[in-house]
Amino acid sequence: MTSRPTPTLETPPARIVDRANRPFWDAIDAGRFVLARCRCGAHYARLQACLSCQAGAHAMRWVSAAGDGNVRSFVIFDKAYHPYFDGLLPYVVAIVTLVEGPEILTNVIDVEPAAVRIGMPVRIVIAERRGQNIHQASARY
Amino acid sequence: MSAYAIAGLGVTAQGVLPDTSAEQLAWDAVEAALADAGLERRQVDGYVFQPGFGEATSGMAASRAGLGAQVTLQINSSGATGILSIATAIGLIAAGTADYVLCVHATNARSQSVTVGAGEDNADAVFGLFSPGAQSALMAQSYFHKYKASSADLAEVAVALRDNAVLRPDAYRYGCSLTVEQHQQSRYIVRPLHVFDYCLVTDGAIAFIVTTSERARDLKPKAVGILGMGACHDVGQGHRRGASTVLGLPDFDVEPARTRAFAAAGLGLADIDVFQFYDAFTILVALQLEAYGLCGPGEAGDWVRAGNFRWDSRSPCNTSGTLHSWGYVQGFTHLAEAVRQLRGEGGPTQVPDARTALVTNIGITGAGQAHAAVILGNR
Repeated sequence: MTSRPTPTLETPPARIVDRANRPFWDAIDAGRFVLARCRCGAHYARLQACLSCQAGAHAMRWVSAAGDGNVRSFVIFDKAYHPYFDGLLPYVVAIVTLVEGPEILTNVIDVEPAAVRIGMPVRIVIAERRGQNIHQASARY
Repeated sequence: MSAYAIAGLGVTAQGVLPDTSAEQLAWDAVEAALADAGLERRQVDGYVFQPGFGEATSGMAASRAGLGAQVTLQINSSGATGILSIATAIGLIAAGTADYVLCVHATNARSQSVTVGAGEDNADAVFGLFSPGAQSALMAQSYFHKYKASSADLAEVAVALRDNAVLRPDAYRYGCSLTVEQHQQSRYIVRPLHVFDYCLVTDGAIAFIVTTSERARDLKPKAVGILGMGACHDVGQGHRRGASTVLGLPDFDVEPARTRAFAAAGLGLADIDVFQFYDAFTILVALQLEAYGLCGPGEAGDWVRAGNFRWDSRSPCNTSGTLHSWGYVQGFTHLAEAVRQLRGEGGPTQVPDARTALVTNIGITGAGQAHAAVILGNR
């Protein structure tokens, strides 16, 4: 039983994929959630210069992530700025702080939008929408 | 004595102007600024403009016709561009490329029915996060949680902005009062922000001329000195979260801009007679009141509720109603009002004997947030 509404026939906005985050999205497509881990221990959702130790992207490798986190902040959309989201209203967009440290933007699902709270524990799940996988934060923890 | 000055100001009508193109609005603002300064078109040898929403995205060719411009720049740091255009103009003058630089912004987003920030070309769109308003709603949610504050606190900011505009015949919301109850009962745009937490989208233009204080002395005697400025742009935010989202304190860090502006001016907070804080959304005003030290962390709602912020209070802020209630010319709006206050042209909301003004701009640019501060004055 899921609270996810039936998706519309509209195509979702395209993912922005480049060299720095292609392994992230390839893993999502394979049903896995990964992060780039710097040799100093900091984690990121893409290859980049490390904000902790200033090492370059060469110091990072992709590792499996726990997928556990907490809601840092969130908003609720009652109006769709893009037709794909018409069928999903109202929906929640949140910044989630992962246990590995980084924050990611995602949607919180499996909960009434009005019941979402800052600090609420969530777990990353991989959802499919119109032939494309995407990570979501499930409140059914 | 400051080395540079704003020597001419041109402000068009603000509102719903479907019969006036963005080009025409820019032309009108430029003409008004030239007349205000007492300059001939051919004397203007620098032109800096911020592209606007609606039609105003191109080169604004008509407004440049007949100018003696030797250098023309289009710059954009979203809502922070007004103050940064002053920095750009000073740079052009200091480099010896120009003597009088026109800074211009025009928009007809209202008549073109532009939905700001609805594009798909960013990493957030895949999750359905659209618009600077949604970014500000994330800040507000975080702020409410951190300080046990609520939407009613932000309503105080919206009402205070409106109270100032109600008195001003040049404001779009002239004579239209707003209450906390009306704010609280208004529809949500992106929860937790109500429609009255959002600024106006109107048509209009503003132009001003930057030159040296020495040259300004030969123009009409209305120049306002540029005493100090600073800027900061936290591009690291997006890298921390693999997206372009911004969030409230402590991410909202104005310290580099604040410190530089006050240090360059040789002034402290107590020396500022009037404030013009960037007010695209009420939460931005609350965060700045606290970050600039007008009140303590989490106290913005109570501070405004107590009667501060009003044009006739001890800490007069946003004396025209600015983006929320006067008109939407982004960061140029606040500069224009500061110049008017320092020239004694604030009309019904003129702060008596205003000699110094702090102006801030914020750009939610899609790569962290840009912030800029400038202190203007007659001293």
